[in-house]
Amino acid sequence: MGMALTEGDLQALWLTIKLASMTTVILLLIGTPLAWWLSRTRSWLYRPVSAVVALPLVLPPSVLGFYLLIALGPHSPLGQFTKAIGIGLLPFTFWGLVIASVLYSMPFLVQPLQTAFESVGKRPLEVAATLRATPLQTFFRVVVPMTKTGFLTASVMAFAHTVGEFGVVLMIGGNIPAETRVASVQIYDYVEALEYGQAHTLAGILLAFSFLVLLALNVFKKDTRHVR
Amino acid sequence: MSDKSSIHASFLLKRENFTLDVNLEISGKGITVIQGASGSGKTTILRCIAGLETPDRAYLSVNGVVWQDDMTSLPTYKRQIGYVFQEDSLFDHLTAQKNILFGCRERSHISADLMPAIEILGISHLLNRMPSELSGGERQRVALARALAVKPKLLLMDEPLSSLDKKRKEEIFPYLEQMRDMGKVPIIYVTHDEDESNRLATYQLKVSKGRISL
Repeated sequence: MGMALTEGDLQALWLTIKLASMTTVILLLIGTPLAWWLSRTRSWLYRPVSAVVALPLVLPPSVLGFYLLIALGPHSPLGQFTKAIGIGLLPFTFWGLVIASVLYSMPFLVQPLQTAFESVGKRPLEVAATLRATPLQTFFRVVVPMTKTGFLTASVMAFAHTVGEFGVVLMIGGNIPAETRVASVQIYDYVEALEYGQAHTLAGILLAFSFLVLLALNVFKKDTRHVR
Repeated sequence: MSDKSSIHASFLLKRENFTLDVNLEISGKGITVIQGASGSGKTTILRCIAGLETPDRAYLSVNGVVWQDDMTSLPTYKRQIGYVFQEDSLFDHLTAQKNILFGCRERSHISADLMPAIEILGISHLLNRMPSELSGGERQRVALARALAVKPKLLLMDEPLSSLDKKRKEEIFPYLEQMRDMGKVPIIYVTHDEDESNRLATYQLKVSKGRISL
């Protein structure tokens, strides 16, 4: 059934891990304040912003990829900016993929985090404030420790979802070995070439990985079902 | 009462079904009890003093220092208060000792000047326990020690005994009386319980329907 991994497979797997890690780290930096804001705000902007964050859940990846291709392309202000500062154009590069993945996986990080932040409630924040903690100290000394599980779930979901990305990658990254050819694209190539044996090996690895990640997450999380 | 050792507070706060409109002068010594039925606005007064509510109009000065007026308002974390909440408010992820030291600069150990309070509250043997391993009365005593550990200029207590049964209440009364008689920090104590009020109060105020009635 399966065949040994080729060098191209290993490259694709390595690239996938690199992309998912990078995306998760950047998402934690951007998504955490965003999720915090969404969990606290009473602004009218709440509804539009949370709708935008959720868009990738319903949008075809090809649509997101298409708009990104245009937004980062040579004729857009953003594209001309990245060219002017010497980065060059981002489509069909690894960093182009990172940007696309950050947007595409955003809801998988922001939504669980927002739920976790909401479950903290107002009281612990008030208590911390009466104990002289600034809002930032309160966040790191009270909110983060209280929402550890939420952070873990959110990071794992963002990571796993990025590993499973396909359509956006194809649109914005194309299929360049060692640069943008991630595992999911490599599998597609094998199937197109009717090399099912190679496809089996990679597909099996991704299947096992996804299952184990979700299993580990469930084991770590407290069993919150109410089973007597 | 001189300006230097008392608290002047006046708040106007309008909510949908409730208006708080009070003007208070509170002694800088002893326990001032604010007594009133539930919904009378007594907790809201404490929350205004702590900066946890945003009143429509406010003036607050403590020992001659203005904390809040129409122009400025110190955020809660800059007000030198201690606050004991009605229900159990310990941080569940921290031991009793880490809860107590949460607001202190030196958080590695309990400083010598805090030890007497720990002894009086009878919690020195509980310091390494998690809140989930403490009884309701023990948790409330730890919360009291935590409020004292930040060396407040003013201690605010919101029905600190209401969640406890009679036996647990009797556990805590002596500490409160002792704190009152030591007179180091003025206390504003909110309760609906008249007996509690009569037992603890140096001064008494009554609130009903958002106004001072006595």
